[in-house]
Amino acid sequence: MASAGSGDEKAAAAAMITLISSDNEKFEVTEATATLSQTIRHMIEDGCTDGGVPLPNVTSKILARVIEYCKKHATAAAGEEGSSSSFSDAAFLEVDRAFLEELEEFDDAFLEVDRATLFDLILAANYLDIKGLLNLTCQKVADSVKGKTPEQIREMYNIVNDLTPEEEAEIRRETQWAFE
Amino acid sequence: MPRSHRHPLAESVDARRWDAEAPLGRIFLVAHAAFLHAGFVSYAGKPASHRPVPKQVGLTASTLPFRYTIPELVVRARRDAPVADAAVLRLCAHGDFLILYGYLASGGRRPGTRWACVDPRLVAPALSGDLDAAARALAGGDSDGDALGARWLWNALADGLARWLFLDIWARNVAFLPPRLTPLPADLQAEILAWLAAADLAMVECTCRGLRDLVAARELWKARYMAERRRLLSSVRSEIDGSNRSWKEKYVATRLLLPSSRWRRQLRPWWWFVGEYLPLSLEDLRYAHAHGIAQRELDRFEGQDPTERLIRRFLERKSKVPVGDGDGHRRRATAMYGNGQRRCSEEAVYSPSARYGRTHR
Repeated sequence: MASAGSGDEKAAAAAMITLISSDNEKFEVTEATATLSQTIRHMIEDGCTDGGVPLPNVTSKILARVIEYCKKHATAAAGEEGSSSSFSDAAFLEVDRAFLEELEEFDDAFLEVDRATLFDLILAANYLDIKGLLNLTCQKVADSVKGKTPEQIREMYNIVNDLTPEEEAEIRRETQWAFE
Repeated sequence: MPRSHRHPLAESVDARRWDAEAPLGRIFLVAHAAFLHAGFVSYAGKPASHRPVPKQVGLTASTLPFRYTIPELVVRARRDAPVADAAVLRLCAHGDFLILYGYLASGGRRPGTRWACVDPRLVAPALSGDLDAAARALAGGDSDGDALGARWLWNALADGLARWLFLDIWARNVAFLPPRLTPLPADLQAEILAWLAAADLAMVECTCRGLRDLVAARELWKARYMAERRRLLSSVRSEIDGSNRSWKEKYVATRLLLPSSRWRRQLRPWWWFVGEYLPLSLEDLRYAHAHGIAQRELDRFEGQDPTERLIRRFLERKSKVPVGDGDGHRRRATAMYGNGQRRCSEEAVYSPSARYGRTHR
């Protein structure tokens, strides 16, 4: 990985992008980190990132978390490229595995947030178009629903039950097997 | 029904007071429990209301303030303003029905109200027993007629009225909202639901109208059906494909042919793997065997006489508690109008156009 470091990588590292959150806080990130977001990648391609990229619907608190995620995964992506270009012997595979495990641990720790933050992360990931983060956070929400009854789900996500008793009985009857 | 935790009703009132209470007062105690369960705390910041609950209703119920607020506001009230906003519960008898109104104290002279309509005659039998029996009935433990009424009561109060007011009071007083699934953009909701196992999807579908419609509109059952489809015998597959059924019904038909491990995503038994990897498909044998069972199930499904079904539903309907929420135009409290004015869901569901919508979920 480190051996794959070359002149152009350094140049990429030197190109910094400024992201501006909704509360006007500025974050300096490398281009490699920022391009994990498809939205920002397109802006860079269009050359309209001078003077910073304003992100009017992401707060600084959430943006900091998103950048934390992107940094980690950008180095992971760089690492993968590096190992695939050199021939992969057992030692490299070993390194890869350790790295992936570390990444998984990072993801798990990253998702240890309250539900409000989780929803904000989903919205930010959707806006910035970061597929990996979106999948990760959506899966986390889906996991929280697993094995719960409708009442527990309503309670958890403050869902108001606007089904009439007849409608609810109808759905319950259709899916009786799930309630057994 | 085994329950890991006690019902909120049992948390909010002790058995002795419950036993001493009149039937009407018990409905109040249930409402009180529903409000506490929704996340409210009792609030007596202002002197007792000008229209207290009469003593005849019950001793415990008549001492309850029926003003509720959220913990966040209590903290703020001590610091900034002396009086916190509160949700106020009112009772109104309307013919034979009991209507529980809820509104925010900050709503001014004409506050927007949320309401739930209760038929005491349906609810009273389930609440007439001791506290444990009532809690069990509210949780929907037994599915006979009495308990059904009690479960609707709890749903209407805890998942309807109290939750509406809880969201109202947040929206009015707190800068940020509690985490909610339904205000997310539909695409994101669908994205989240796509990760669910079939059994969990069925649960989510039961939570509210918005999610039920979303599941239908995004054809989320289609993906589940398609995932199972390739495992079916080709004859079964073409039969199910050709039938005029919704994606959900198709999935349910497939489910009958597959071991329950598939839809609960539990660990598979060893014979599943034998069937999966043997060159001579043991699986096919199993399906051929299961097919007999499934065919009978399908016949039952198709052969049902719609008139008979309607009659049965009509009879069922008589034992329902009509419920409602604040924007009453969306909810039709069936028993309140009683006559031909009902424009209720079943008719709509079985009308040709709505049927089209539902069969193509």
